[in-house]
Amino acid sequence: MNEHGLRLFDPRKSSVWRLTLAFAAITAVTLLLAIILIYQLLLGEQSRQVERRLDAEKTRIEALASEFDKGSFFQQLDVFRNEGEILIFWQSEYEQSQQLSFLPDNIPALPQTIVFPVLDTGRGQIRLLTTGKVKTHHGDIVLATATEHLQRLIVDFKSIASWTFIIAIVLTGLFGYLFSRRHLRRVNYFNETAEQVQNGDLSARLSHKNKGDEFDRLAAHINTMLDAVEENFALVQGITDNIAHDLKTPLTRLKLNIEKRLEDQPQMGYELEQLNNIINTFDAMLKLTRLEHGQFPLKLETIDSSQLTHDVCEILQPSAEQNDQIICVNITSPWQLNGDRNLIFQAIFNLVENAIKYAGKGATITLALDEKSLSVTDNGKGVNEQDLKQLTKRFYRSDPARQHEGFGLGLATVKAICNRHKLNLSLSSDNGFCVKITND
Amino acid sequence: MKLLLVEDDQQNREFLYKAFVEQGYTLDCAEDGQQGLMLATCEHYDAIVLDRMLPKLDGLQVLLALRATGKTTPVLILSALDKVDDRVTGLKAGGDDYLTKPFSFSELAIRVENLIKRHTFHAPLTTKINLANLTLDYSDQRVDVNGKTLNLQPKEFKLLRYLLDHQNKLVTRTLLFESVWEYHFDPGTNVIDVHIARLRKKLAEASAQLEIETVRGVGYRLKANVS
Repeated sequence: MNEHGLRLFDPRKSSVWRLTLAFAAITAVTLLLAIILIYQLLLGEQSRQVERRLDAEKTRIEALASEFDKGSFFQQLDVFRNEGEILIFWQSEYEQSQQLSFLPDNIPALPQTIVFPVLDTGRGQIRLLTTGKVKTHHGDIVLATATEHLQRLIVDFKSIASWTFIIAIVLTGLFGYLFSRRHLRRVNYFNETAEQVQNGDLSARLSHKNKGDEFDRLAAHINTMLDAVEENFALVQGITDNIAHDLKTPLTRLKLNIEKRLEDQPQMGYELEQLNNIINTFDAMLKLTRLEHGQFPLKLETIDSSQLTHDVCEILQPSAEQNDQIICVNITSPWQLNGDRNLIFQAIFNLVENAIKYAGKGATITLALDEKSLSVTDNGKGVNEQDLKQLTKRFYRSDPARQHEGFGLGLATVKAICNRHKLNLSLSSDNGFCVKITND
Repeated sequence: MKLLLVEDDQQNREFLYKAFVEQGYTLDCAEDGQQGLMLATCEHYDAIVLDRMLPKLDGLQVLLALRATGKTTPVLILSALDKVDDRVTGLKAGGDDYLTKPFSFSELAIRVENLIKRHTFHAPLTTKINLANLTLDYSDQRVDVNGKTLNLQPKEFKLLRYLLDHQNKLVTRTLLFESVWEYHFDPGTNVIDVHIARLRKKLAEASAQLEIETVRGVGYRLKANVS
């Protein structure tokens, strides 16, 4: 992932955010259970008491109805009416006992009840009545009890419970989001440092507090690990530098001596050329290894890619002409590229040189450039599918006889240069061979 | 011309000593950093050839110490390390040129010569270079053979000029590539050979009495061929 991607990483994709969601769900369920439990223990019990009272009254009235005749039954009811908290209404041909101006038609038979509001003119307030009917053979009797306190409690409880629920969930989500952002920032810091190391800066370290949390401990561990890696690396580096030094001093002697003898013995030129080949292969391998391991610091600058393209073409034109080949340069628009001028030049050079070597006599080599890609295409015999994957490996050459001059490091070096510049390299072979470098 | 050579390998030191003396230089040699720094600060030299890895005092430290005393003697750094950052730190520390081991003596000689020339630069009295029946005028980018103008591409002109500037001397391909195309890169033998062949052909067609001799394994030498 590139640096840009890391910075824009969405906090909602972090593991902490997923944990937050899970936690929010658990909180929601727990809260819901708690609310239901409290409701049942406090308010449910009171509701049931009201029901029980109405039920007891119902039983009494039914008993009265079966014991007395109609007249005595209503007289008894008149007595009861003034005794308890239960209000009793009825309608009959003898008398209409009704303290209320209005009774709804849809009052159900007990134990079912409905709640409706009435205006108590005596007290000048609205009261809520829980009512139900008792059916007797003397007629329907309506029982009611005032429950406005209970109803108000239920309404208040419901509203408080829903607000508590909403606020708890929102707070959980909000804190989870903030935590995951903070968490991500720290993880990103780790990622950036890792990337720095990956790019060859082994001196990169994570800053942390000594007493700190799990992140600080992780940072401390990573730092210790990097110290060890850097130390080993320096050791290996020292060894390769020493090898290079120890090897190059005698090579210098040899080269200087052969060159000296060249004046008298021109045939020594062949030996000198062989020696130069050895040295060049050695240097190319060292360079490739350093590129691949990020030990090759880039000298970054804005590159005039069309100038580079023209230069490569100009240098290699005579070589192409020797093979009756034509190099076409096709620049749609220049590619604004930030990179190491010498390395990018080498990459383009290697690609065109390869095309000259392998496309065959009379081929046309096209160097195309637009604002975010560069491609080198030839119309030669191309490369088969298997070779295509192997081509960027070092020392791989598709001609088994190795007739062409070179070390088989050309494309491997191009690949390493592209990787180092975070550019994308793709090979294809439809008609001829095409290599494309793009800025992804 | 007086040079200081600081190199710890005895064989290379002796070889370079002899070779530079043959070229007409006077030479002082030092075998470690301390000795080198002492000589460099006390004596006057036209140029210093300094090895990068030295016993007692590292080449870079010698260079930094020398520059700290205010001496501007041009310094060429010789190094077994071919890393770019090494080249950059070498040049940043006050080095004027950098050559990686193993090198060819011809290249070292030309680089030293260029360094001295650059350091004691005088505006030349003429902008023309003559060799046999060829005249190159770099103020108006023109090459005449027997009074007839030769048609050359810009890079071919630069190539010929570099060879003329160093006529009768061995010029390596790396040097040519660096000065004509201005990239730090070794393009391999073949590529430069083809350009030289073209130039040769153009010179021959104009019957210039010059010869670009190929010295196998090293490079080219331009000389007059008056027969």
